[in-house]
Amino acid sequence: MFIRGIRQQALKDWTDERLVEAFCETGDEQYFTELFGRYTMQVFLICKQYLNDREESREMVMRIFSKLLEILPGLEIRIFRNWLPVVVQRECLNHLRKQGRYVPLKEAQVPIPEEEPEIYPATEELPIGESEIKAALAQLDEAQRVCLNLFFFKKMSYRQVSGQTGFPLNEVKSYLQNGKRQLKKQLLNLITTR
Amino acid sequence: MKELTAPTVCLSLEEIQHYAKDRLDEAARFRVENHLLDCALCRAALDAYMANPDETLGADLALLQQQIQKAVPPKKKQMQKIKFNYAAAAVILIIMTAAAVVYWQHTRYDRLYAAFFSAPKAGDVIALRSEQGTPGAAPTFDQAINYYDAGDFSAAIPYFDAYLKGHPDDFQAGLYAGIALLNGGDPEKAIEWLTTASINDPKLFDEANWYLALAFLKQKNPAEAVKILENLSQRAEPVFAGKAKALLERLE
Repeated sequence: MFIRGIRQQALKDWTDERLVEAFCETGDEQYFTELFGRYTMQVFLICKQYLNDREESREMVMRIFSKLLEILPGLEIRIFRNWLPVVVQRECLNHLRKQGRYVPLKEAQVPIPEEEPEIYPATEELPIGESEIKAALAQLDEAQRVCLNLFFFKKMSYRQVSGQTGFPLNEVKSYLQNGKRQLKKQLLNLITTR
Repeated sequence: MKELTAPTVCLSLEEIQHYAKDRLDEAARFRVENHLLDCALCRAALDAYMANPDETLGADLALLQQQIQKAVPPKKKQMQKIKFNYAAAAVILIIMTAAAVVYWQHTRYDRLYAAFFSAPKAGDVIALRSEQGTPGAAPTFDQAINYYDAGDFSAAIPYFDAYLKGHPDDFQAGLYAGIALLNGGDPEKAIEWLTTASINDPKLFDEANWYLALAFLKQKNPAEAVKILENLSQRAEPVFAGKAKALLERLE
């Protein structure tokens, strides 16, 4: 029991990718338990949004946990937390359909995220200088660059950026997400071509 | 600048709740919004929370964490049970094998003793003693020899005891008493009589020592037995030297 406690404590420092790899290699569910435990809250909130019932949502979380425990070793998952909301959404919608319950228009709310290139470990900071970041920023679309500048350098909130630029709030979020992703891609390319 | 490229950590429930209620300071709000740019899961969770804000989710999450820690699907449980059964069977097999080896080793000396022990007939010797003018035997001695020759060693022992109390210098009788005691299950007392016979009567030395070696073997004291057998194999009459060599080979 004591050794298991120490081991579980040590697993808390592991990255998602390492846990997925260890689980797929050994089938030892403690790795998956640690991994899933990190995102239980998010999974529960999404389930609750679809099912609108606490108990049913808890059951759905456990069903998803069991299902992933079974299927994960046969999959090639690159970024677990990006893949997870898609699975949760699909399971909730399947559940509602099987019960003949109304499927809300939330179906398209969780888009399949664009996978980021994993050239550099996601948990480590990129070894990039300020001038290189500024050069990469200069290559972005204007709307993306303006939003990123206001958000990162003026420390404005989404709402403030929206007020400052006149872009609707959803567009601001989109410019920031896509702009940041584009910027990372460019910086990763820079690292690999050095 | 660093915030643009540094990895970000997923949101806690408190962060989601406070962000939704606009209760975060600027730094905390920036951390939340910066992470939301990277994490589809937290974005979906925040949207879900904002669609139906609920301040009392802590109990549900605590319950879920407990269930997840305990949850092992039936298939896994079954596999664990099978693994455990295999492990238990392996342990039992190892223990049984070890016990068999220990038992085999422990009974090895008994088996060697049984293979090499045979009691000499005493009747001929008694007749020879009469011919040689050895003093007339007491009734107790005759009775002891009768039982001894019949193979009833346990019945012979009390008569040998009674006779030897009155005739402690009859070492030949002592030798037979020792053999009877050895086969009757008292190797310790047998060793006393056999040692006395071997020390005091040179004619009995080889025979007494042979049975002494067997007595030590029966006591699971192979070291003493080997010493005696090595001596016999080098110095004894051919009959006992041959027996001693044969037993030594088996012991080695």
